[in-house]
Amino acid sequence: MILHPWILGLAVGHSTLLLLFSLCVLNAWQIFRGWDYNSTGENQFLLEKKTYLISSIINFTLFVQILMLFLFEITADELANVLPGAMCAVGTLSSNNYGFLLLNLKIVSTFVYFMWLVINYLDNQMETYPLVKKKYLALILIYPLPIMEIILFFKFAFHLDPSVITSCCGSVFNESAKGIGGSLANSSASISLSLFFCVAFLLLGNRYITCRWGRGHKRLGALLEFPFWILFFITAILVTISFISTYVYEMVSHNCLFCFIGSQYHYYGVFLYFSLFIATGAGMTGGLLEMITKPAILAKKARLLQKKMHTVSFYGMMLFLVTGFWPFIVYYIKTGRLI
Amino acid sequence: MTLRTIFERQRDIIDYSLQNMLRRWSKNTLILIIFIVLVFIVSSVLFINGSLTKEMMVTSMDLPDITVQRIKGGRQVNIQAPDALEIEKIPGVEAVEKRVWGYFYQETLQANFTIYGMDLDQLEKGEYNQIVDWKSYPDDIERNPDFRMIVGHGVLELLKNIEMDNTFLFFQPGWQQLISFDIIGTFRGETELQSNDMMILQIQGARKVLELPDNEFTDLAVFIPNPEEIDNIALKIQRLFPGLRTVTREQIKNSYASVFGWKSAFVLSSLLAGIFAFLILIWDKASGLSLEEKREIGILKAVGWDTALVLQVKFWEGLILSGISSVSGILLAYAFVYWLRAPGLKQIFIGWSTIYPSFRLTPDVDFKFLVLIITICVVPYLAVTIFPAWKAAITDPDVMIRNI
Amino acid sequence: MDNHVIEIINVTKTYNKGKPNEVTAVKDTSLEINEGSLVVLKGSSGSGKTTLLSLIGCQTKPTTGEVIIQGKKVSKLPEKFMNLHKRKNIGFIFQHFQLIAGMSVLDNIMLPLIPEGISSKERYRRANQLLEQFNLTHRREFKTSSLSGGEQQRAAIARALINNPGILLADEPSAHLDSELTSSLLDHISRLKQSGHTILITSHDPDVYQKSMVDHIFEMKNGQIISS
Repeated sequence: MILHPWILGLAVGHSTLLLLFSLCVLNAWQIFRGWDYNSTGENQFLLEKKTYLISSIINFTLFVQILMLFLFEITADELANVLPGAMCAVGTLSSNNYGFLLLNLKIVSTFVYFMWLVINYLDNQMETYPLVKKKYLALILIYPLPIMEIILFFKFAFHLDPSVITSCCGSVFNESAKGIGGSLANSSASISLSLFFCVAFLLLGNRYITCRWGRGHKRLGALLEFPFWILFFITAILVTISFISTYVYEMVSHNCLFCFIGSQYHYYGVFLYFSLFIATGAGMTGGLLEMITKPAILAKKARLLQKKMHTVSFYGMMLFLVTGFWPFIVYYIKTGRLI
Repeated sequence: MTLRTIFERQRDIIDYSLQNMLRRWSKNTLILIIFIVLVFIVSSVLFINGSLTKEMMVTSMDLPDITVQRIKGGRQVNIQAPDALEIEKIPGVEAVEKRVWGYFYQETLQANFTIYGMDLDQLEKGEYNQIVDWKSYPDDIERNPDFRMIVGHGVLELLKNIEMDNTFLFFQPGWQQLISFDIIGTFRGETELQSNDMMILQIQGARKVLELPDNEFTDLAVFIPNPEEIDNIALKIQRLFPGLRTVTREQIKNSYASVFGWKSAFVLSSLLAGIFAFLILIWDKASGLSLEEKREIGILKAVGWDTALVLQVKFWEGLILSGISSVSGILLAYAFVYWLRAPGLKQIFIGWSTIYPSFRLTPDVDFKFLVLIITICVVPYLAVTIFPAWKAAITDPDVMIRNI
Repeated sequence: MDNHVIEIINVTKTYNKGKPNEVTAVKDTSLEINEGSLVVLKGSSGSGKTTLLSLIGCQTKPTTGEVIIQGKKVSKLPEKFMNLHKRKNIGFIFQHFQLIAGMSVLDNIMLPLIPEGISSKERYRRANQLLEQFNLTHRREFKTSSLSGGEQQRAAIARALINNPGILLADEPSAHLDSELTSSLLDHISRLKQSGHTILITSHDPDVYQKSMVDHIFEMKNGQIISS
């Protein structure tokens, strides 16, 4: 265990999140149990008012979650000063089994909270709140996410041992290294690039076809967006490791996902990941919205929102491409060669 | 709703929130002041921690890859010249520097100086040339080249008090006579943390002051070109020479960073009690709606404002308040740490330094501190206000119609 | 066939249900009001007329029964949609005027427009027009607490009208006015009636309900309409 301001900040943030989320789940359970649209009793009035409390909290939760994602990365980066062998965030995260697990969980939670808020927004457009029970049941079902997060966080923090030498991005993403990081970087840039563009074209092609073809295919195509965007996110990370990072650092051997987030690289990573998260979040939500088919009037509103999500994800993807390949283009124009 | 109307509406809501807060400024002033103080303390601690860590990173560049000491009876003793020759033979070792250094306590100033022996002629030629301000002397006076020295900035300031800023006299009880040194330069500011209490003496003179025999040294600095090999070579040295102890640069760096981190976390942890008390105060203030406030929210609801809209007003109020507090707290902390040199707080962090350090902290203000300050101060504040804000926002419009 | 803008069907409103201080303010009441008419609800205090007005004004929901405004069943709508309907159709003049004391007349009048996201230019246009109409232009920037009773009354009417509602509800509008101000208030109301507004007033003041322009008078007692 390391007592450190950044760890302290994460502890404060995680506890706040869990406390608020618990308050939410408590109220969500009451709504789930007691909601009766046709009732005009005072209990129903109170439950209706509680929906506002829950929306506010989950909105705030998403904001804190994004903040914590940043803070977690910064913490990992800062703790690299304390942990022997760690040069940057990768070293800290891989110093025990919980670092990367927690990071992945955080990314998943962020997307889940975002999707819940979009569905909530959609449902609130309807006078009868048709999704009310499902939506609050979903909220109760995702309660394990913040709980897991806080458990993993404390496990991570307690297992940070300054006397154990860890490996860092030099070796985790090193081509000679064994393990998943090494094989990721090892799968050379050309493979990951082709994978990435395959998925991107698959996405855009799928979208083009669904626009053209009839209803039946339309539904399938729209539903496919959900897994496709997950694939897009994963392959985008692959490309960032094996291709984009080398041009940002202008070094063959430096394949780090985190170093470029900080001020030395003018917060390049913030823009890169921002566009990736926007694109993926909106894209996945677009796919999810296709699952809403009843009642018809809600489905109609869902399609409208889906269209917006499609537009946002498209521009997000374009932004990611421009941001991601900008260093490569600059490098190529300046030197006339590849790394 | 178009983007334009959303924007228009948000602006009106912010406008209303501002007006609302100004009308009740007396209720918010206390919270504002405490909030500013909290942000101020948290940011001061973080700024000091950040600057010290950065300064340490800069100075640690000059540390040797491995420092080798001889240990006898658990104490560090002088190392012999042959050890250096043996270590130099280990494959991967580029050079071994035999170092001469120690401490000197000056009674009048009650200050402890770090003495370091070097060949100053080489230093003048080498890369260190740039970090020293050389003094020029009229050359008509005959000087012994063995008794020259360069001092840290803080040392020079101190020496001015006892009028020894040109020539410094070393003396200890038991010595036959004083040893006098000419000060020929001072270190520049960037590396103040370590050079502050430092005196670099010409090596022959340093041996006299430190009473070190000619074939013995304080310790060895080992330089290794390939960073991957440092840990292996350190292990190898310990295996080959059981009487020697090795300390790598990483170990020094990490232990410094741990100490800074631990110290600032300690200060912040003790602050948590304060933050907690503050949160209770906010909860209390936010839950206790006056009749007048309740009536106003009732009016808003009655003329067609939604609960969500009233919540937005409360949210903006919280954001404005925490925004003002954060900005003022951070600016105050910046001034306190970098202009006033953090009186009071600094002592906690630089406890190991025995001189009265006058060092400036080089500003190291980064976006990352903002994230941490927001997480520690603003997030709990907003979290605590959510529930009371909701309680206020669900006020029924007919409350004011029926009761007042 | 008459055009009912307001329909109340078997409405009951109970406050604090199941608690010792349970009060049934309106009991199983039905009411229909035609478009463009001026109706007065009279009755002693505590007879339930204010509660009935709140129910019609979408300020509260009935415990049982239906409230239909402009053909829309509002009694079961979630708050957000009820508010949407309220802002579009109803102007409410409260007893004691209920202006926010620390704010200027202009800001008070524009309050109902903020949820709609109406541009500030349009808001100022409408507000200035109403200020002119109610002779308050010279008081524009004054805090409402510094206004006279009559001016507060006019500001309250202006605020109720800023959404261009078809229905205007007034709760004891003459309760705090002398007879001169009351007659000027009635002038305003008669003008609003002529311009097509449906108006519902609660009052126990004979000066109000004995006017010739009143189309209907309902009398309430113990939460029920006893005569019309």
